[in-house]
Amino acid sequence: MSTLEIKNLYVSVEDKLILDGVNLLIRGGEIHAIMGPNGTGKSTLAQIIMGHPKYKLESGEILLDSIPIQEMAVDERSRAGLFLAMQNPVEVPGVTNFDFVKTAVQARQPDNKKLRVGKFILAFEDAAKELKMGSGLSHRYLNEGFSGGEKKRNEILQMKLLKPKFAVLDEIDSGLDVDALRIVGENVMGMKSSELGMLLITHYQRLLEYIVPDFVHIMIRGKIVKTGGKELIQKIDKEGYDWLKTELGIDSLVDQPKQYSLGTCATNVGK
Amino acid sequence: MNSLPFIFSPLSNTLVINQGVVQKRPRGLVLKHKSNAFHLSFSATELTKPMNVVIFNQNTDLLLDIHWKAFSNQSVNLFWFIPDGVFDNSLSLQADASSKGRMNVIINDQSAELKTLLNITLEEASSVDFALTLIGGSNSFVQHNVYLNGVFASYKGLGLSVNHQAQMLEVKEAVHHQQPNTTSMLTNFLIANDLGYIRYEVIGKINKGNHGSNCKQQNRGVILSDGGSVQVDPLLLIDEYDVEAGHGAAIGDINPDELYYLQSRGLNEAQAKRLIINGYIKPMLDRFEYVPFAQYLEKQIDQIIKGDDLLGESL
Repeated sequence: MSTLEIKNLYVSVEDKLILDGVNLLIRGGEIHAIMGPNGTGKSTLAQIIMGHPKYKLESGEILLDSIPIQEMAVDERSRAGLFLAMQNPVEVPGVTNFDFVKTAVQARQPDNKKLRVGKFILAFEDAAKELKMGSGLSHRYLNEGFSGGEKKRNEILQMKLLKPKFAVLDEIDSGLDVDALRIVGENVMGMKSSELGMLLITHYQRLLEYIVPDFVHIMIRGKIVKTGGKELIQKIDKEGYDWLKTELGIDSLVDQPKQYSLGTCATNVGK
Repeated sequence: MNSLPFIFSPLSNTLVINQGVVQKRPRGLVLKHKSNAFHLSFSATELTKPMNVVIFNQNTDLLLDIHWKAFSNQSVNLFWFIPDGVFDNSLSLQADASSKGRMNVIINDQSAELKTLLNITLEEASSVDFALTLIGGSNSFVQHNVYLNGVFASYKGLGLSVNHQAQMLEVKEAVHHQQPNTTSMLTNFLIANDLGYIRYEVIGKINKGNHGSNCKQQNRGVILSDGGSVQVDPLLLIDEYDVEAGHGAAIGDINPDELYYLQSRGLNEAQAKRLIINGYIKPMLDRFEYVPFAQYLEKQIDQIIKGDDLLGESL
């Protein structure tokens, strides 16, 4: 069984510490959800797992099947079995969806093995059909002119075809209407197996009605402060996060902006 | 290049000019030539297949003049291989009233110095879909003029310029709206690698009285190396109120967000860059119905964008 382990992770962006000692273990077959107010570091966790160059790992380890991956390049992590469904997938004009996914699948083939294109075309069409993405998808440029919902479904389409060991879904529910949410939820659940571990990052209960997590974590100020089961989702949905202030003995759920002195007015210091 | 590239050999609808001498002349083509000046027109009003013109082993300056007769519908692919030397070439396309057509020009420039004058003239209600690919060239200058001389004339221009090493290319492209209700749409993709330098000055000009005209241009440049340089000066010179006009230019390195996204799916840096650059080239390749032409062009461009090991060996 595969494992993705995050050990005592400290991460900064532009000299600001965002993750403040995160620990997490995901096993193949498990679905974990991370919830929390805005600006607590959820997406930073997603991006540092994938290796985004903007995020700086101050200390800690990310282990995939017990092998440290923090020194690996983004593409190496992907080929090792990680996948990140992004919150805001970029548009890449001129690159067709089909060419892109085909190249990505080809990149996973052993050195001397060529991708069987016919088989891949069928798999692509099936996945597009299951996500109700229309027949012209393969020729459309990557995410260009896609609606918010289409972009998110396109992320799931890539996940289906790339077959990762671990997938991080970063706010995959944002921008989705009720039907699209159901389609995405059903497709993600359709991939559930002991071969795939998932980490969902979300603000809302509605996604978790379709994708039922085994573990729910609450992240506050760059730390996982509470872990539980599905009951946590209902509590958050009813009461928000304020109850955690008392439980954790803190005044604020998010880091307060640091206040800087601009200096003082000139004064007569005398001579 | 001493012999005709093999992709042209089996094609019957191909005019070949080798060392300034007509070597192969297809049916349906009316050709007049005197010294180094060639004038082409077409006997049929509508060609079933595009006519190909290949010029290679050029040993002197050349003048090529193409004429689309009124109400005709033509399609021409021109492959112009410029060898080492100093040349001063001229290409003219005359589209008579109500003619329409499509022309792809590929200039593969190995010269030390090249000047090209390119004039396209459109008469009333004619429409031209024109694409120009410029590859290489140590020191090239292209003056590209489009004259919309008849009402309702419409011009669509696509440009792709690719260079590397210390090659220099300067293009002055100007569209002159000289009658009312004329339309032009220009799109240019520019790719510089190594120490390559590309400069485009793109002018859309609508003279007074030419109401209802529409003049647009889009320019995109990508620099693949620290030493490469792309400069675009888009200009609109508008002397009439009732018109539509717009221009845009975006130049830079490959977008790091695009690169990260592609790499997050397992493509290494070279593969990701290659795919993004293909996005620039693809509109040009897609214009060729005959697949070997597109493959040939892609290969020519590949050799340049590989650079001096900047994009890695896997390109």
